[in-house]
Amino acid sequence: MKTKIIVKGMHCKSCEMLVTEALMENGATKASASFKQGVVEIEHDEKTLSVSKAKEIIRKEGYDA
Amino acid sequence: MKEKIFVPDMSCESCSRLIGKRFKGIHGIGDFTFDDESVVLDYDPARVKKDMLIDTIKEAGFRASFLPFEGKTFSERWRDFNENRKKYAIEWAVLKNTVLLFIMLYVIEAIAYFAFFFSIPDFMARYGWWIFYFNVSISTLAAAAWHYFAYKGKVTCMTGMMVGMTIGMQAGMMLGAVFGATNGFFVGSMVGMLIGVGVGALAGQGCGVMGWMQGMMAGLMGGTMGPMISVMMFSDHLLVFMPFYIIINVLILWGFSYMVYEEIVEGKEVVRKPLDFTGLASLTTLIGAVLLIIMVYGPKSILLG
Repeated sequence: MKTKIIVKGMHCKSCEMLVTEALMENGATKASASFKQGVVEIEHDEKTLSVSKAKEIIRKEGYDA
Repeated sequence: MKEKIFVPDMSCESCSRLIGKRFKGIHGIGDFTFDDESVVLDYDPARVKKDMLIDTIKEAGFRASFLPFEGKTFSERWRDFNENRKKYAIEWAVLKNTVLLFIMLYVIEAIAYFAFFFSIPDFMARYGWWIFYFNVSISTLAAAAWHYFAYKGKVTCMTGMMVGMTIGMQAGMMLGAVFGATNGFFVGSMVGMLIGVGVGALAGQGCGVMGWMQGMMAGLMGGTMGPMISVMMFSDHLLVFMPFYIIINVLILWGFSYMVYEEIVEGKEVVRKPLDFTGLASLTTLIGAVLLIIMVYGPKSILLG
């Protein structure tokens, strides 16, 4: 399934990469982030990576989700 | 073994974290500490090749080198400019707009010529080349000014002064010379001075009174110097001189746009709000029409005499 998560605090390309990499490492099948829109989009299986888990991962990277 | 690597493009903590993350994935890299523009790391040369350190950083999307970066060379910039059309969208538009404005002006002028001036003897001989130089000047000037005003960013005083002075001086120099040649010293100086001062003040005001003042001063200087050149050289190969003069002026304006990009835009937060082409075209046509009427009907005109 696809989920859009609103993320505050990303302000450059590196931020995007950090967030998407962290999500991919934790079971997302696809992840893309945009610091301009402040949005992270993931494709994921709710069993392997729940939305709340994804948000937790983003927060662990240091951003508000 | 310790090694220092220069990474000039890191803009925030995320960048260093991203690179740090890559380093952690490589066995043989020990401690590392980041500075604003570099990283010092400890590695085991038996397990990690030196070049791999650079490649790792480059793969994360940054420039990296064991030697400090000393600005970009011209060829590096040109390559970047050519490859990243999107990043330089406004800069590419400057070139496109220059050509479009030039063609547009010529089309309008051709219509006006065949409608009103075709039967006047010597009209082409007298104004032909000067209308060409006028078109080159005004389309390049308009595109350069458009480029500068497309960005709403912070300008340091130094940059503001440079901006006001360059564009004020160039506007005065180029148009002043054209009008000096067609309409004599008085009209040439008036047109060059007023346009130069106006453009210079408008562009320089981004950094307050100082930029405003410098812009006006440079406009005054260029605007009176331009006609001086063409009037004094009129009987001494002026038409041979002009191509060189105009080419140098155009090159300066391109350098100006390059400077605007480097000083105001690159690596900084700016708002891009370019005027659309219709706006630019109508403004240029309006100013161009007024100036051309002054050129052909000015006090030294063959049409009135």
